Amino acid sequence: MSAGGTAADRAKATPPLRPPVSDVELVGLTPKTPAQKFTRWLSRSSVQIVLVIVALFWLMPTIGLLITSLRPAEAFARTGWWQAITEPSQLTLENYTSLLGDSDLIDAVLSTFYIAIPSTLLPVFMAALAGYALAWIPFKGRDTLFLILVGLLVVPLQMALIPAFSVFRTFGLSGLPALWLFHTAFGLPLAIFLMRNYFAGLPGSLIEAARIDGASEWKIFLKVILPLGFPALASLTIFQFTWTWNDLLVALVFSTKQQPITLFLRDRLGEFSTGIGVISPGVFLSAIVPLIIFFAFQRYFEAGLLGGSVK
Amino acid sequence: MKRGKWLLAAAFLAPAIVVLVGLVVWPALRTIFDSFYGPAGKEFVGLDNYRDMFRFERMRIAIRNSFIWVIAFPFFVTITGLILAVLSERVRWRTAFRLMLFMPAAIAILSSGIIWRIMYEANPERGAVNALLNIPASMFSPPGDLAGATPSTDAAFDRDGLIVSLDVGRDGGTVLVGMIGIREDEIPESAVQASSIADSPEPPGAGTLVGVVWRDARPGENERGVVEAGEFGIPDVVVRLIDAQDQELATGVTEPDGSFRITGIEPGAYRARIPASEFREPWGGITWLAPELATMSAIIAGIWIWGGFALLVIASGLASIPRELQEAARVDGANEWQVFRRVTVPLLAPVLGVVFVTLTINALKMFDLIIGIAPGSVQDEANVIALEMWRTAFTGLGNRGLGSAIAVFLFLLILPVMIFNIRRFRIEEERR
Amino acid sequence: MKVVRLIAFFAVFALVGAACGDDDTDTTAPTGGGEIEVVWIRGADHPEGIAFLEVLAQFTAETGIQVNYQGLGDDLPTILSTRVQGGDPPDVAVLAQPGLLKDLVARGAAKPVSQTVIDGMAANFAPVWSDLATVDGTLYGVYFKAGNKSLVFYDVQVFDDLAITPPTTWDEWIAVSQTLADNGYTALAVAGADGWTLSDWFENVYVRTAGQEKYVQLTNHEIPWTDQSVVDALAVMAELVANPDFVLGGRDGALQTNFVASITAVFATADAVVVEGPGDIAGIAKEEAGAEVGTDLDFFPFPSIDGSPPAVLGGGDVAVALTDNPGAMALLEFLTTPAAVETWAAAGGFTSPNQNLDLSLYPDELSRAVAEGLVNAEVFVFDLSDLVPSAFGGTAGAGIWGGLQNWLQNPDNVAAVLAQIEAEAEAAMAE
Repeated sequence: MSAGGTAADRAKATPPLRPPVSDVELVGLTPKTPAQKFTRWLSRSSVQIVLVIVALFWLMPTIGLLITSLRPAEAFARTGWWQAITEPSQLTLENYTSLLGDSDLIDAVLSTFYIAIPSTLLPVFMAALAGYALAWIPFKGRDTLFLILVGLLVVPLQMALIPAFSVFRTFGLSGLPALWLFHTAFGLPLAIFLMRNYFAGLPGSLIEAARIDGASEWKIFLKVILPLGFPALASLTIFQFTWTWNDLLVALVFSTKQQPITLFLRDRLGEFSTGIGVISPGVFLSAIVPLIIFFAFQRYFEAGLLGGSVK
Repeated sequence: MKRGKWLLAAAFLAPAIVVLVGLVVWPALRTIFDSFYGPAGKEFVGLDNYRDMFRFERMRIAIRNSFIWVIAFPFFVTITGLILAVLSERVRWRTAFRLMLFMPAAIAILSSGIIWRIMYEANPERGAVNALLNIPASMFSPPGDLAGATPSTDAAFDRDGLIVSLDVGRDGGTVLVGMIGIREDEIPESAVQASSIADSPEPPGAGTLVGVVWRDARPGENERGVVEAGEFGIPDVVVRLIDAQDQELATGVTEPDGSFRITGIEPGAYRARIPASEFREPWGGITWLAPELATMSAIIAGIWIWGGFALLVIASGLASIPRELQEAARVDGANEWQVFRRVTVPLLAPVLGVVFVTLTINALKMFDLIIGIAPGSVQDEANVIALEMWRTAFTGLGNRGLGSAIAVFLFLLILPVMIFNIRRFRIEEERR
Repeated sequence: MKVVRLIAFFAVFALVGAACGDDDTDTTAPTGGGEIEVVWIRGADHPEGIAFLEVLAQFTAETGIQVNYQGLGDDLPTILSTRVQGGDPPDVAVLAQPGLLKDLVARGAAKPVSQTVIDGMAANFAPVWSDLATVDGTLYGVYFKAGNKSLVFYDVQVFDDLAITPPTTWDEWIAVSQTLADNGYTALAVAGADGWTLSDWFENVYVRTAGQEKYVQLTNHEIPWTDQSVVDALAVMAELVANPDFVLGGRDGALQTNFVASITAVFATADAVVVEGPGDIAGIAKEEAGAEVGTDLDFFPFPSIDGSPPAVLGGGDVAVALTDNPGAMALLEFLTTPAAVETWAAAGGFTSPNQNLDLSLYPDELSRAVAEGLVNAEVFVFDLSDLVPSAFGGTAGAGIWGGLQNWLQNPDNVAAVLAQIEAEAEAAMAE
């Protein structure tokens, strides 16, 4: 990897925002003859076509569900959703108005925020603390501890449910705090992994300089590490938020009064019904928030995700 | 100083460690402990659970399927992500493209399973996948007018169609071909009351064969093999007269009343054939969620869900590898494939490794996708270890001991993947 | 200095966490005997959940005991299991499977009922309902809601067009199916993807071909599943259910069809004409296909086989007390009275096994007929797959459900399938 050393170092120094590479740079040599230009145009447009087709295929299930959510449940039982393309008259907002008219939906959305926000911020913060110590505070057995912590990724969540329930009972915890802590616990291994790797890639000179200036470790963490590590924090936030927002299993076991949107949807499915008139708009409504979070943070995403692992 | 550092590190690490020990490490140890106990966790059973686990067919299928998942899923998802990452580098709308592909990750996995169950619906009228495949299928082999029909009179199907034996005498001959199993609204609109010509006391005349192909069904009482009032002829059916050597002698086409007439035939024994194309059924679609296909279909859905994740991660890896090496290779005369194969992929290896390992662990822990996508009768055939663990421990009042044993087994399977990952990580650390 | 600050930070954090914890436990813990927690599968907004909440509101009005209700959905067994094992059960659980009741009794989680409940059951219910909630001679619960699973629903339009009258015997049913097939219709939609629909079919046939006595013996596993009576019943059942000429999509198609799809196949897409199942079908057909009772949809009782008397296969929901909270037993006592469910019966979609409930309260012909069939049946048997341990009778892909699915895949393979079911029965009953 020595050949790429300088470039990698540069990338490290300015991790988040590498300017997009122009097309000319990408394909390499600037074309000189018309024949070369034509070949380039051909390969570029065939790539475009392939990608357009891939994108269409990728969007098809989502579009299918969107159209399904705009058709009456009776139509779903009779024909495929694409029939609505030739017969747009059957499209209706009925499913959405009846779902949104349900006052419990608002409660469920709020509850999901109550659950998801602390369940995201707690592990991100804890992992940032731990990641800083694991990357920049030398102590004996540091790497071993790191590997053990990351190794906990292996523990399947389902099996921890019953023992964790007893743990919460011992401490008199239930409902929201139980959900927060459980989500935190199972979000931490990946979070620590990403944080430590990203922080390790930050320029050591800055931290050393701050230490020489007499700044406390806590101050370095707050004033140097957190701002520099923002891309990693942001991408981790996206991951953890999406996960907790969409969680059903943990909520099923630990939630008491606060029922998140996944439980709300499940409630309305009933024992026998496919409930397509509820699930199709419901899946859309519940996906909106993670998508907003994703789009809001996506520019940090790429930089943050791999900060430490690409060398 | 040393001691201070240690304390400092402990302070930074404490919250994470407390939570992890309380809610991950302790439950995990408890699970190992429970795996040596009975269903309710009361009586010690030694290694019985570990023995019982492999006795059940369901578990063996689960192990086989998890193996398929581990082999196929990370491979295809990584390849998909890699190809699309490299290709999308070349277009201006790369960000939009990558975000579009990442969108499924925002949907709960259980919901994704439900979406795909709708996509995979076997009936081409309702399932999008089969509807797409139906376009070429109906072009090359359109369904026949008599699709689904079976004879109510003496006749038998062979490879080429429906065969009726008949005799033509000196005064000609008659033949009745009754059809059941078609709805009234499935026969052409032009159809009228079936002809009674075959029942006519007058013979059709020398050298003439007269026959009726009709729908031998009507509301209420109905006698098989007899043309009755209220039964309709089936128009436009081709009837070929063949001899013993399977040579075609003549062809008739039925009228709106189902009758046809073939003239100029020598007396003798013949057979009439209604060609197989008349009976060709509309394409019924592929049963994607049938027992033998369900795992493959679920993996395809898995590629849809995680492909965008692989694409984004690989693309960000791609953005951070030094451009100069690729440039240099091109200057040296390497073509795009060689650049990809010899320069880009090796440089991306660490990223590909991260993606691959993450996906392998995902494949082993897979469970909500299977619950969402597989119909009840196929949950056994699409079973995976993580799902079997859930089913054992939590269905009904659950067998905690056996479920714990399966969890430990799963843990043992994931362990080598993690060790591999950790060793790779160590090597990288040393390179720093 | 730095360390001190960090410790201070965590101290604050810990305090906040503890405060949240305290806050939450305060609100959920029962305050004296004045509040009980009740769980059932239905969500508080499900029509049945709403109706049940009205019953609970009436209970609160009469006794002053507050009720905290949780609709747990299909995962009720899971959550209940976790909470019982974790030592924090709800006060009252309403269970759809008697097998689950047995499991709970076996683990010492269910509480025996008071004398008032025993008297109330004797006064208002047929003995069968007390028997169903009795384990080893002790009564543990109250069946206040029942279902009739011996109903066959059909597309009225097709029956009228073809001048078909609903069959009353098995042979007539086969003849009707043949007429439908001759006319190009698919006679039956069978929901083989859901195992329980096949077990309902089997139990309906078995109670008619083998009789009630054998049915009870088979339920208690006093005769093995390899018994000749089971083989015979499957042979009869195969005449309709495993006949590819009659069943939508053939046997493979049936195995891909779930319960709702089997209903929409009849009442939405008209791919099939007849579907067997519980009374819920009418409601689902209305919701998913807009089918109206009488004009689009009607039903006939599951026909008699070889002169068998009218028999009803039923299911029900049983309320069980899981704590010694006096409010829990008060609710069970309340549920034995006809007054408790009067409003629910009038609201529709509900059938009570309470003999003293006025039949005229039911809002429409269909629900009255369903209730009448249930109360007047000469033979009443409880759904067998609900009575056996849930690992054997209530688990997707296993036990009875999985066995019958394997049978439908290959009906010639009766011996092997029954041997497998028998092996699983032995394993499940041994526990």
